[in-house]
Amino acid sequence: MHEYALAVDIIENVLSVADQNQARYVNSITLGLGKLTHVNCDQMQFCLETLIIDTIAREADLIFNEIYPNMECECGFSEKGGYFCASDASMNDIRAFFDQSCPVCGKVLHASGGRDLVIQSIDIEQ
Amino acid sequence: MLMHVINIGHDVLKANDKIAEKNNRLLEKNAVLAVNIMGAIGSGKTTLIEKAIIELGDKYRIAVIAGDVIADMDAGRIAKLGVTTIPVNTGRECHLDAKLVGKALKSIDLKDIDILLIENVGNLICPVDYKLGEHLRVVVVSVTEGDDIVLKHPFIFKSSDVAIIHKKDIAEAVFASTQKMEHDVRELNPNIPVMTTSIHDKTSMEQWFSTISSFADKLKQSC
Ligand SMILES: Nc1nc2c(ncn2[C@@H]2O[C@H](COP(=O)(O)OP(=O)(O)O)[C@@H](O)[C@H]2O)c(=O)[nH]1
Ligand SMILES: [Mg+2]
Ligand SMILES: [Zn+2]
Repeated sequence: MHEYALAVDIIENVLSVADQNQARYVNSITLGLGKLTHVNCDQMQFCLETLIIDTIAREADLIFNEIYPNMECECGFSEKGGYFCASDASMNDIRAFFDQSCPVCGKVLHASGGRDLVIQSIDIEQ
Repeated sequence: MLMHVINIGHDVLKANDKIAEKNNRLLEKNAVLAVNIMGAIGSGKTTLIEKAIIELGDKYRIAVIAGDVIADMDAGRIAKLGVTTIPVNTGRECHLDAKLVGKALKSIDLKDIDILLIENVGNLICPVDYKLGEHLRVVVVSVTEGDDIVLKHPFIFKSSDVAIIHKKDIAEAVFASTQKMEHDVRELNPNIPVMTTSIHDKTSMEQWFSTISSFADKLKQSC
């Protein structure tokens, strides 16, 4: 997977925003990670940890928020993807999001969104 | 000492989509049809590109971006056929991205091109997340990958516009059912055309050629 290249983009962006805000340190970096991207969270964490050594973000906490897709049906049913995961541990496999049927009418649900990899915020010290 | 939170909201995956849109606009301005050809190493991507050049090269001006990891070898094969070939070295990356393609586009005279064939890196997972600015996403799997290969990689079939099940001539030798593979693709994505092909079957290759040419003609008309 392409975690390393994405991690480089993330850290470049974080450091440039930190710099624009005269940061002395970055205390935390909060990322939103869509459930339907092919990004592996552990690998991403490892790449980020490697990249922040020797930067003002070296002490930063890395916080990951999972972003679920919305599960929608032609019949009008719509529910956040997290609703299905609570009852089904296998939902960690992204394939499962394409294999859920509508609890109202039984048709296969359409997963929309959840393809994000977003730098939500950083916490800096000036 | 002042501490505060800065909201950023920058999406690094969508950043690629933005560059892809820019590539797409540039291609449309020059009425160039771009085809992104994805599939595992050895599935037959370079072969299908070579055959398309031989068949369509008289009628259309074709250029190729060769993005396989060992791009120089494939680029050499294609350049022999006398078309503009840009090898893109992705290094150890597992996919082409819009930035790399944008850079390659700069070294092609787009005014003089009708069709751009892009051979993606041999991989059925990573290219899914990356749009390049293409008009047509083609996924190629061969029977030698096993006839459960489609179900193992649902996303690439959901995000493609054309599916090719290749090397049907040797299906029996590797105990693969092309019917099963076709059926699996239709289950995953009922909206896309599925072709079962072999370089030894002229009719099937013509389906591949006419897919490309019909899209190229349509684009020319709309531009
Ligand atoms: N039997 C058979 N072999 C094929 C066919 N198409 C390509 N090949 C062979 O498959 C191998 C890999 O093809 P290549 O185009 O280099 O695959 P790529 O790695 O996806 O670019 C080569 O040895 C080709 O000659 C086909 O239709 N039938
Ligand atoms: Mg090749
Ligand atoms: Zn329903």
